[in-house]
Amino acid sequence: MSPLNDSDVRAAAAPPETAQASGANDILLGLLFAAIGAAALFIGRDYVFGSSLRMGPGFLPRIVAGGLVLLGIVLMIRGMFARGWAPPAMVWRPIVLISLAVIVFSATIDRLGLFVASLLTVSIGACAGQEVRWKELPFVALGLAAFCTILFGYLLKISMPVWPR
Amino acid sequence: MSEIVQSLALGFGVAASLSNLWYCFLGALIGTLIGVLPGIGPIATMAMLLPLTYYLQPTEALIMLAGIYYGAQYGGSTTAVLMRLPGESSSVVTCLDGYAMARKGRAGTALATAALASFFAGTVVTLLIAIASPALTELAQKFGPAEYFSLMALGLVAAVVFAQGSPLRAVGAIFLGLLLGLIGADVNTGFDRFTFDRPELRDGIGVVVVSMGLFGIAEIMLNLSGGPEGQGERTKLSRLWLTKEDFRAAWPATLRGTGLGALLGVLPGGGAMLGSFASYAIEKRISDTPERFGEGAIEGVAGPEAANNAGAQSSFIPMLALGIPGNSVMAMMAGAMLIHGIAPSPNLASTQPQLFWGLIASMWFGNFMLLVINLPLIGLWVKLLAAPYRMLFPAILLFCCIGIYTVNNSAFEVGLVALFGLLGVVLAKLECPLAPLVLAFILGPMMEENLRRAMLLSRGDPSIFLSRPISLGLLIACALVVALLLMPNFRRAREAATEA
Repeated sequence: MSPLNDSDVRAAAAPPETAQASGANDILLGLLFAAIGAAALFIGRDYVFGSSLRMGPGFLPRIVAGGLVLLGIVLMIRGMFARGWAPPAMVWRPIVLISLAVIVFSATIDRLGLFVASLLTVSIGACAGQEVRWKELPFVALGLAAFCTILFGYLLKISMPVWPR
Repeated sequence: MSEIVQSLALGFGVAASLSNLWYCFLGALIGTLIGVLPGIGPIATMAMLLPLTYYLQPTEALIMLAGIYYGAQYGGSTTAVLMRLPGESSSVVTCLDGYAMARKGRAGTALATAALASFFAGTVVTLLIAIASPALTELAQKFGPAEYFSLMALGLVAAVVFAQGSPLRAVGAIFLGLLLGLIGADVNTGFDRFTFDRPELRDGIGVVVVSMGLFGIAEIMLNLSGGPEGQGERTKLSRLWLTKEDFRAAWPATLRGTGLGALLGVLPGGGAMLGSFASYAIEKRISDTPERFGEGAIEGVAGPEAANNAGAQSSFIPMLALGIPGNSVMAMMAGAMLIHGIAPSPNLASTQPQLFWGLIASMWFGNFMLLVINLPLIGLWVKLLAAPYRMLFPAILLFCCIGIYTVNNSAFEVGLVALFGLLGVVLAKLECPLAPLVLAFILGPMMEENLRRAMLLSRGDPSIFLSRPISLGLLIACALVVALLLMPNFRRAREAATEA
């Protein structure tokens, strides 16, 4: 799925020289799991648990969320004993801009229609790239919006708002 | 026997109709077209192209989707060989020796090997499905809630054991997936769980939304944050054929790969990837000259490619026979069926014989088309590979948004996709495998329902899972798979194969 770099392919081909000590990843992932589990336990605190014969709607949620909290704690403990501390490098620009582009599509499609929503989404999304070519961008956005409008709105006749109303 | 021949004849009759052949061809073509574009896997391809199938008849739509899936898979292998860019996880292995062959000027041979091995595997498994499905339907009749539950548990256990990286993180992914699957109204009582008072969430979150976010959108973000693309230099094509020696080396590997892939693909949670890794490991192990692997051994292309296609195809079995989608691709197919008003269930073969057998026969046609499309058009695919990602990703992004919106005409779901994209990036950065999460998300609600029914049947006695023979057998299989993890030999092989 993602472009592999040299080391990935080598790692897939040969056994890794040493087990990668990634304590930071374990701790952060453990924190995430525990937080989500705890939140689920809190939100579902009133769900009826029931018994094994008649399980209530809260039976599995509590078991699953509890398990998630437990696993998160185990992962955090494992992370603390691991050697090495290298938190993953996050590149925020594409993450923020791509999310924003999708959210803008969701916010505009119903009222402004396919053409405008496409135009906005592509314009915002295209800025997420490593090198943005400003002269190219309007043509890419217009071209894609027009293409999708014709394809989905007119050729395939999918029922969706095409123009602002 | 005559029953099988009859069913197959019915299927081939349906699949060979002009319109079905056309949609099969179209699906395979578009699937390959999108699949060769770097950075788009089969799931994203299917979700993007889902709207194209809405206006078709159900049979046509499913045949086209199946074609898209095969096409996308094959497209992935093409980029793996030519550029060392696996389109998806199951062609990671093809990169190793396929790209090495390409570097030695044997790209054409590698591609032809991949196409022929895939076609062979596809043919064998199509026959296998046809032969096995009456027996499977019979077996499905014996499946009660306890058996369903145990089978799905086996799927989840297998997904952990065969996942990439740390098993503990995979277990976490499973729990998170189960929790996400619980969102929505409780089937038995209608009680809203984790819906945050949003009416859109009462039916639960759609599989397409989850997989599109985790695989489609997150993939774009990861690709864009990945620094300069680490792809190998593009290699030149050579003659698209195999010499006699190539054939001799490739066919036993193909045979073994087919068997292995078909077997592992049936397992829920297995699918195509597992088979390709296992096949590569086995070919390397039994070879007299293991040092050639990684340097362009043709067995290293033929075996995994056969296995991955066999697995892709046999993963249809649990869905067609039991109504259990074993991986996210199958869940996507099940989603498409539901859109057309067909519930995937064990009765599919008897209630919709045309659709069932037509789909199975069209798998063979799909594989044949791939052979016909890919070998002559390979020059075109190579040109497409040259398209810079900077031009591609805005289009992928937009198609993803439109694809999701059209499923339910729901803007809310598009917003959810952004959320899952974010989750996908964070989890991927923290090296948490995503495939088990999606599988647990798909199987979770079905497991809950069957668990409750089993408990009602047994009056709350959990020993029902041990007292019914099929269920007991499946649970023993779970224990055996877990035991694999404790074996040092398996652990080493697992680390070697999956620690990517």
